Amino acid sequence: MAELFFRAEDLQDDEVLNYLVETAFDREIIDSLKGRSAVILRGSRGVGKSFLLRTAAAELRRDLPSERILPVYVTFARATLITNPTPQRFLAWMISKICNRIVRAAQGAGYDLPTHSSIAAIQGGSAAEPSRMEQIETLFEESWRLGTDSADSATVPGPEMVRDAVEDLCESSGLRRINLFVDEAAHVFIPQQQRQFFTLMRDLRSPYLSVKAAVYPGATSFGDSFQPTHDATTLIVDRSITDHAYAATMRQLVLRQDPSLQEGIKRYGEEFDTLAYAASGNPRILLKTLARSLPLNRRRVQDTIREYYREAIWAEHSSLSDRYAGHSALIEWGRRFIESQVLPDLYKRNLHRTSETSSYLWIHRHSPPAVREALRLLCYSGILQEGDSGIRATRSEVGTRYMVNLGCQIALDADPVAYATHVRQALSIKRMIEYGANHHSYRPIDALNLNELEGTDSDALRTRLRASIDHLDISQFQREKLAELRMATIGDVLASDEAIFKRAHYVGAVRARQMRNAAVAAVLEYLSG
Amino acid sequence: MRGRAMSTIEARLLALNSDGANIIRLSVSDHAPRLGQLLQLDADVQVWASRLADRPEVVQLASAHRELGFAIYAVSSGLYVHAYASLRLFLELSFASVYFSANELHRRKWVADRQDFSWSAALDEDNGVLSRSFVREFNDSATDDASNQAKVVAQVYRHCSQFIHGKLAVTRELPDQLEYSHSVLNDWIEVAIDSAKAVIYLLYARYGEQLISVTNQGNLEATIEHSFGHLPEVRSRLGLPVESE
Repeated sequence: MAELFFRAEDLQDDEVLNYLVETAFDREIIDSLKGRSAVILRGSRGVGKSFLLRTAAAELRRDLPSERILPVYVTFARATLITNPTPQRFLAWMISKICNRIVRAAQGAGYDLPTHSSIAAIQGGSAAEPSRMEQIETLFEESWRLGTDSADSATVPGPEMVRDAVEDLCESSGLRRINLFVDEAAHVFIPQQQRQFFTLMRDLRSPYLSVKAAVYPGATSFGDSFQPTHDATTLIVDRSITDHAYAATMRQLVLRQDPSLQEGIKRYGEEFDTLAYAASGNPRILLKTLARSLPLNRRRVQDTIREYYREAIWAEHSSLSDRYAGHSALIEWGRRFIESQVLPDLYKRNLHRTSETSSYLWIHRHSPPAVREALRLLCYSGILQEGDSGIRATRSEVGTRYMVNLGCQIALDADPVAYATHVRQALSIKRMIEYGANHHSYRPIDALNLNELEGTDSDALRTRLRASIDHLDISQFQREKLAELRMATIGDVLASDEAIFKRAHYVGAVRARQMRNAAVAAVLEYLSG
Repeated sequence: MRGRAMSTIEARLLALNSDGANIIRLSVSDHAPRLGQLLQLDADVQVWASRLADRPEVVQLASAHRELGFAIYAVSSGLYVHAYASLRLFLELSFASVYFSANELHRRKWVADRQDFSWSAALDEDNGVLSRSFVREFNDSATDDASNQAKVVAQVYRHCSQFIHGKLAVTRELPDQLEYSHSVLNDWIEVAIDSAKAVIYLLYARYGEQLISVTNQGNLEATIEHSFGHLPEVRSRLGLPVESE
């Protein structure tokens, strides 16, 4: 039996194309990634973003002699490991990584000779002259290592230097352009870095450089200059489980990795399909749960579903609290909301229904910002998939639809395989459980505890709490009302409740809620420093 | 004053040199990407050598690196057997440098020509510098992958040796005169890429625990990520995502 690969990074560059199971959906994404326009590729952990980026890069590498487009792959997964990541250091770090990978890609394709190559050494030890890109890399490398906060900012060049060097490289090498694939581009828990990345993405844009960035669903802080609708095409990597070819594609994907599983999958087709649908379009989850169920049989699949979707997937989600302590209240509330409210609601709804089963929920657009943030984190973990926003529900109220990972629901049943078959055969996206703007489940995180926030270790958060109410995203009228109530800082607003806001003239329940929501939204991004 | 007349020996050698130049043009135009890949690995070996500059055994590593340069020059010029021989010497010197790093007395005796050194011992799968017993003392987490690299090295070393010993099974592919051979060059580059990667892994297995850190993220880390980023153990050391079951 072959070893199953859970991550695209487990594959070597020249192996990637052997594992591609191409659907029309995948082909459309790969072609966009190979194209000229900037792309943001968005999806949860494990849905295949890295694989799609690396496939596009591999195809461009294969076609380099004819197409003359140089693929460059870089991951920013280690952004969190930078010590003292000030904005200046983070920018320099990003640029030095990009330059390093462009240099390596150009040299690896034979367009340039490395400075310290042995064929220069045997000429008497003289190193080749560093290319312009290498010089820029060194400059930024030193900048992020040494820190530039105290240095003269005029000595640190801007991204336009990189753009110019890329143009030079393309012209001297006969390249049409460079397609830069940035994996894990914008850290979901650090909005400041998201803004910096998207600003850089815009600054690097040129006819010779096209940036394709893979991000998680929560990465939505684009900064002032980057406009997601104008500056890039956003592609969502959500494989629809209602697609008629879904199960067959997932089978092929597994068999491409290990053809010896064919017999077992054929014999236990319903069991395999249960794993495939439980994974809800996430190939990594399918491969992990399949590996736990081998050799395939019904009992092992039932045990795996129960263990993985009742425990392992949640343990992974909760472990985010260890790394991002400031978000722990949101992480744990999100878990409780899905486990104790949403899943039982869905299970109860579907159990005796023979048509239009559901794995969807709908959240009112005026629900508290902390709720929406908690749901974004669940999307990052792959427990939820964010669907369309602007969906009308009962009484024409507007909100966002999410799909709950099907595995989490079917794990509730004593016979997950039979229950999975029952649910998936009648699954309808039109049916969803609705949670209004003030659902009772929201109460635990509706009011963020100001005392807890003030006791934080995060300087950024403390500074934010002391910031003026001018930073709040509210109307001038609402700002004046807060001033009337002698609230000067975001912390003052958070320390109050809606009853206090309503003491101002012409402030009713809706405006009071908007004012408080704005204050909560203003501090959420600083929770983990 | 009249210039010196060119002797027939000189003329003939220069004619060969000119033929070599033409072969270089063909070699580079036919194999630019693969040669580029090899030269990048070659530069990566140099990155390690630079970081080890204050260690005595770096002299052997520097010699190995130069030998790889001669090998690349030879193969690009159509001197195929010599290229295989130089490639084998690159492997031997690289492995010797790591062996000597743990046997300084032996290194000094060898440099003074008072003791021989067994190349095959350094490459030995059970007791050589990529063997489990050696690697676990320096970089325990690299032991499993080191044994895979040891197998690769054994194969490429044997392949190079066959050319050196004139084994017909391989030498029948060689041109009888100085001329370009697409297939031989192709074969050599594949073997050289495997060899260079194995040497980089060897350096990682010996010095990686000491020199690689998740916060450093410099050129040394880039060499390992480039060639071995697909190995979970390596990713873990570099601070890159790992998924286990």
